Amino acid sequence: MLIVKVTELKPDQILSDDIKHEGQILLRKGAKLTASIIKTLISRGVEKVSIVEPKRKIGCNPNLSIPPAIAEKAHAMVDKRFIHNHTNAQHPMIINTKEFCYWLTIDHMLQRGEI
Amino acid sequence: MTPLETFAQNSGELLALPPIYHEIKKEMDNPQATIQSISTVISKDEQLAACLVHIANSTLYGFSSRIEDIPEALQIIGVGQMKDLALMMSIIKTFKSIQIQTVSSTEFWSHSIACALASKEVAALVHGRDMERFLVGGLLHDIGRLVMYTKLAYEVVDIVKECRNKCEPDCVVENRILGFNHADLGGLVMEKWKIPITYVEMVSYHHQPDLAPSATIETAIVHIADFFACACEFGNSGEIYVAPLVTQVCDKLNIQEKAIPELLQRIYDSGCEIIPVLLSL
Repeated sequence: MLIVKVTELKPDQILSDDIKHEGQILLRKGAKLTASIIKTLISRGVEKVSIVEPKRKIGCNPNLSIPPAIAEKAHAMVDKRFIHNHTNAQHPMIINTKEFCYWLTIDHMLQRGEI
Repeated sequence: MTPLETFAQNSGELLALPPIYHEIKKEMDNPQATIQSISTVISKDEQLAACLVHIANSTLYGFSSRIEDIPEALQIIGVGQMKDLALMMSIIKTFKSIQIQTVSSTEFWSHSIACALASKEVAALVHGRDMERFLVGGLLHDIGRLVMYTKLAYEVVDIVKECRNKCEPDCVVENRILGFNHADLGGLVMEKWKIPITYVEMVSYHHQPDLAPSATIETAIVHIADFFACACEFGNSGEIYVAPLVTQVCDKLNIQEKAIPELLQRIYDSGCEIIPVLLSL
């Protein structure tokens, strides 16, 4: 799988330099991954498309793929902030909030260029 | 005398509400007041007036037609709600300039505004009405911290250290070191401001909503909103860890699990839009 950073979302603006190494497509906020963009990516050699959308809206996407080391780091950061909720950690409100925070952490990592 | 009463007695004025708020409130409470006379008072502060119109046109209210000026905003949004908005904005404008060392003012107010927006969103889901009053409760929930940062700066350094060392929430450490916490102090400030008791309880019990004497639901809403605001990571009011969630109280609000992700997203989107506007005051 190739990593593709989509900085602009029109197919003709996806540059070959944006295709670097294994990883994900990064969709900017408000962006839509259209069929034409996918076709362009495939034409550039992308074998599998995984989507990471900043601001976690895509959190339930079954195709989502985060490198394990990054996922582990993000989970650890969230667990550290919510450390005092361990007694009721299985409450749906805490689970869902931590999940949201997890994606936000991933998003922040993306914005800082750590992923 | 409790440690809090002793502190209050020895500290002089804790925080003073901005004069513009008193002027606006006085005019709005005047039975002879008209939309025009209230507008005139608000417009004395041009920046405040412009920001009020901006917020009235934001997704916070979601009106389809554009509100052009203060008289129109008063007519459409309502005098009571505008009073709350004016209170919010005058407080942000006044206290944003206070220099604190523990956390940047922008960070502090970003979190406070996020909590205000989150309170309104949670209230909309639970109540479906009177959501604007939650903006004030949410905004001021950590006002006691501001007093601590300005009047108890040395103690705050010890509190922060101990929170880190012992992995404890700050309100627990504050109670141990000071004999009271920032929520207690915030409630005291609100009482001195003669803010309605519901708001006082929202602030005083935002970490222990189960102990609120009368405004249980309102306080629970701010409690959850604070938790959500922390998760959204808009600024930081100085806490090291996200304060524990009192889930028994949350259950009483009957928020469906499937509604939570969308609720968090709405809070986040609302924060992205509104926080920069209010911080520009």
